[in-house]
Amino acid sequence: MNRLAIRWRVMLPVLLLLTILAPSLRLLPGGAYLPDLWLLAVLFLTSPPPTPAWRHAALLLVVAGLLRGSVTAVAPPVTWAGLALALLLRDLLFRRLRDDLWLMRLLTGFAAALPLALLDYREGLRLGAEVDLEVFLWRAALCALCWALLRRPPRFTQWISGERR
Amino acid sequence: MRLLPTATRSRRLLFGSVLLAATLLQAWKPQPAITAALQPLEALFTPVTAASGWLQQGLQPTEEQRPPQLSPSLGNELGALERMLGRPRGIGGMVWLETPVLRADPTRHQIEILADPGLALAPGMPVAFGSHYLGRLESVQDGIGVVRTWHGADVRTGLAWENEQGRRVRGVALGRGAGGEAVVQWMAEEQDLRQGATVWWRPRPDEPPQLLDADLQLGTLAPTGDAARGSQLWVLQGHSPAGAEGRVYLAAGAVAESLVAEAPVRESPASLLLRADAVFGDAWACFQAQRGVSYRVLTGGEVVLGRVRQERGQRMWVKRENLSAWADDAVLVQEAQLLSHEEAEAAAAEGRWCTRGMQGVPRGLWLGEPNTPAQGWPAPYRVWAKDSGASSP
Repeated sequence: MNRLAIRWRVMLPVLLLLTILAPSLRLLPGGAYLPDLWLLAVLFLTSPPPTPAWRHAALLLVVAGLLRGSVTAVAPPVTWAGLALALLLRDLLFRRLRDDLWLMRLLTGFAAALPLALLDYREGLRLGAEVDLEVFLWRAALCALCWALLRRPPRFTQWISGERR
Repeated sequence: MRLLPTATRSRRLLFGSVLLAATLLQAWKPQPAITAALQPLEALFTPVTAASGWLQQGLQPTEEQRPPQLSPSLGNELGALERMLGRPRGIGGMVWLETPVLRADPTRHQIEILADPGLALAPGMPVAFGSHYLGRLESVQDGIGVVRTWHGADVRTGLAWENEQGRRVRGVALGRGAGGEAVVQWMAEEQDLRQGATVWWRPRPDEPPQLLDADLQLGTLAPTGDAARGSQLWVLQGHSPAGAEGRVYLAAGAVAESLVAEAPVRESPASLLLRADAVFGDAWACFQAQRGVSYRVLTGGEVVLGRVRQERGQRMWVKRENLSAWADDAVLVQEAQLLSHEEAEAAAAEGRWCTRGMQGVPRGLWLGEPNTPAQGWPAPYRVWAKDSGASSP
């Protein structure tokens, strides 16, 4: 079995579990401010430069968008656009900012989370959701915090980027 | 570090950029064709929605909150009230054909009505509601009749009023559309104009004279402009009754198959899939209904829970709304009166609020008690839409 298939045998259940849990988590006290789980998943399950695995990232985006679309009124193309911009911005900033400084990682994380937050907010306006922009910005900020504080072990990065040991 | 050959990298970059731009465009301005094309793919994920809903129900079970039960016949009650208020006075040798309104567009001064073949409607027929003249049927096509109201731009309407001696004076009104109230363009005797005089509709010379017996009103006369500068105009002040958005009556000299056409409404039972939205939170819920049919509003128990905000395949997303969210799209039903939102506010009137019948939402669905917070999703669920085909906005 190729490595891509092995990775998906782990990632797909993780994404499914996140999707099934996400609406219930939103109902918790303060749940409205929780970061977007699919964004976190995509950020942590794709490898940044210098070993970007584009095909894997693209497939992950498509699956995450469809799964997110199954538990929200936000249409998958909005999610795809938001997640794709997130990866693009993360990779651009990753090349230019130092990854070992948490403040730089915070900045990278916030920049990556911002497009999805703004697209969600705009979709909310279009559908009449009446959710404040502030809520989406808090989600982006918390997502950035997760990106800044949590670091992947090198072996995990190697695994998701498909590199041989 | 793996580096791709320049040509391959450029090609991938170009392909990726085009794909991203297309996705952004679809996210910004959704194209219905693309949305529809994605639906079969999205339908595969319906079990995920159901699984999430099942987990949610397990974690946070909620007791079904039942709203105060109301007779399910509010729609029928509204219909009966509209008939009582709307049927014009009988006229010898003619009948009034009753047909429901599909869409009322006050800004364009036109009303779309159901042109049931059994009624055999024809352009030119006068249209009324109660003692109010509304306009004439302009066209009939694909089962939809378009009524041009007398306020519409360049619509000429014959009128008459009584002078102080009780003699009928004839005139012609010209509609100004968005430009303002219709003006009296011509009158037989100018000195007989007086403010506040009731103005009646006058049929054309080629129409049956007994139409005059219906005593259909247009409004009242009022001066506007500055008489000293010679810019004074006489305008017709009048409003369209709230009931005229539900059904109207057309004068006919001959009857085809039927006298009455019923409002076409689609409805279907719906099931709750998910009681929250992963992005927008607990004010939203996801429902499932009959495949391939579009719906506009969800009711639970006997009360409207909210409009269908997003429909993708069999799944539809509804935002919980209370009465205040309907404001301009509601009418107040009293025992013998039907009031628009503005009229009810002005009079601080009380009664039962129901849907006005705009934007594809059927008329006469109960909107619940005033000042009641929008919470809970009381079952059983039904989804509804006006069956007005492509004409619905």
